[in-house]
Amino acid sequence: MERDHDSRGCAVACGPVGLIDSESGADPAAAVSALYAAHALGLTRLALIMTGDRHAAEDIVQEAFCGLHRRWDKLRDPAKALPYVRSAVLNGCRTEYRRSKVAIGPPGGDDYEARLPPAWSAESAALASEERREVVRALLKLPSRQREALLLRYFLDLSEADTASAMHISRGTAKSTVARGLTALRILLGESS
Amino acid sequence: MSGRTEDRLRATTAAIGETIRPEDIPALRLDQRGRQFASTQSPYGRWRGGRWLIPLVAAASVATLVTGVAVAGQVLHLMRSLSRPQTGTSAAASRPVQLSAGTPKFIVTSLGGAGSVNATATGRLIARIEPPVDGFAIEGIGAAPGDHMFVLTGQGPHGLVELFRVHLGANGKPGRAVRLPGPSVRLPPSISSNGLISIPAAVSPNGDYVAYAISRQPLGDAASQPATITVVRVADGASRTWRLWPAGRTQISELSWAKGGQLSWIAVIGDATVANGSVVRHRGDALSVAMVLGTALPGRSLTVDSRLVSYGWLSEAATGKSAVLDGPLAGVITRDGDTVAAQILTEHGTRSKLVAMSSANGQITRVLLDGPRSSRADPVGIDGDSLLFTLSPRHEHPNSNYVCGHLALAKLSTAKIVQLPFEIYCSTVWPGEPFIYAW
Repeated sequence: MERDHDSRGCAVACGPVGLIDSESGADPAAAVSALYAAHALGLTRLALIMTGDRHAAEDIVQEAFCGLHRRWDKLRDPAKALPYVRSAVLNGCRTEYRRSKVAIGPPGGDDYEARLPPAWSAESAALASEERREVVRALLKLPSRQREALLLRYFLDLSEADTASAMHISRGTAKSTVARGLTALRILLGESS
Repeated sequence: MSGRTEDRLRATTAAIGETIRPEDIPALRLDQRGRQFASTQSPYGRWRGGRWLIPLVAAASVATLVTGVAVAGQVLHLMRSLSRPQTGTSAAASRPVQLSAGTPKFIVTSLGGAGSVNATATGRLIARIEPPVDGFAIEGIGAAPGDHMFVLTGQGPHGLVELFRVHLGANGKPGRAVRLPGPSVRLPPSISSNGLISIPAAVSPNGDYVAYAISRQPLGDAASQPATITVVRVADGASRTWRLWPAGRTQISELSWAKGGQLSWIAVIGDATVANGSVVRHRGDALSVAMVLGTALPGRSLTVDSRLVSYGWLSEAATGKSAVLDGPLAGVITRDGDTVAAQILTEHGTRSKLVAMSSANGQITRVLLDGPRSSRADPVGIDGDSLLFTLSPRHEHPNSNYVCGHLALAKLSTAKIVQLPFEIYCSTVWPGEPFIYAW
């Protein structure tokens, strides 16, 4: 990828909607490719945080964009392409998370951290400090919806409206889910309000 | 709401996210066949995909498992054929490639234990290989130089390991498979047949000898089943076996043969470390190695009679955490014995390189490909200057079929890489080797 990206992996050049310009809009493959170039990094990073598995994250994002391409002719509004892909990535992450939860087994025991996927484990260079590991452990204890809402809001920096759109919930529900998630996270981290 | 909580959340998620760099993102592979994909039939005559079939077959397997192990084996075979990564050609990929002189014209593959011969240039199915005995599942393929002789290793329905030799005609049509004198080994349990295990094989450059490796099998007893490499003289069945010490993690994954009786082998060896340039037993550690066995040497120990070319560590043993492998993961030796083409994992298994290295000292002489592990190249066959390998096999996908890689060839002398019209489809549910192939 040749484009510059910010820390979340969004292409700086992609603009507010970030997607499909008028030239590529007529060609589904070109449009999807343009969207991929702009958002694959950010979405892959999101999927990595949600699943803990880099290869699964790449596949989830790949499949989300392939799904968009397959269904392009049913997409009435090209501006809906990005919300569609975000939702597909969330769905893929939920499936992967459920699958890995079965494989990892219940929390507890001396080897629980050893059973975690690489990106969540203490072996990960990104989690070298105990403080960060504590945040990951707390995130994993949150209900899935709250975790998703927090990541969309505070990792991807989506607005409440975009968070709601990606999660297929109302804006009010998104707002309250984020608030409850933050409160729960704060309690789990032992921080005072 | 605490600003500190948000800050900690942002900092932690950013740190995890930034472990993926922009250049790590793979290219988008769009499925040009669209919704037709799930109902197409592969050139192997097996259904590819058919998502609706998977729960049906899973339900069938539950019902059938209680009726007996033998029947369950067949169901597993069917499930694998539906759900495992598969290969095939598509309209987009079937443009013939120009093969330079000396490139093998045929590739022998096994999918779900069933063999076939395909044209290298077009991917076209030339012929299926008739099972030499009913229920025989191919679990390894060795190729002699040129396009004429292949050896199939595998198990019959009762788990007995057998070797068969197949000659191809000038048009690629396989002759009748001929049973070779081989091991009287029965691998437990018989349900582990149908391609669920691997028995790597190699043929000597003159075709007079066949080597095969047997490692601990699923549910097998590591203590009673040390990994072995056996060399069989085709003419009379005389054989010699080299052994490793018993260790649960040991798995020999690949064999290839060079002149002068040099047999390269790739393995993970449990309870092993390196001391003074040799692999020695050491409880708790585990190594990934590329080694070359001198088959003319008189011993019985694989490590004593082999020289170490390259190695890395399986860090699971040392840390007790999830396995992280650095070092050689796959590799084959050139027929002159000078070079090993290998896939080497680095940076705690997150990056891989396809390299040519000296078989004498492991020094890398040429980097053929470099990239994240998700676009790894897995060398499997070498004939003359032509290296056959998979390109970009990716993590299996949880939902549906998609193209996750291709076969490719590299010219070792020029490092030129050509993608072959063999797509590898990844699909779901059942982990395992995508397929077995050789040239």
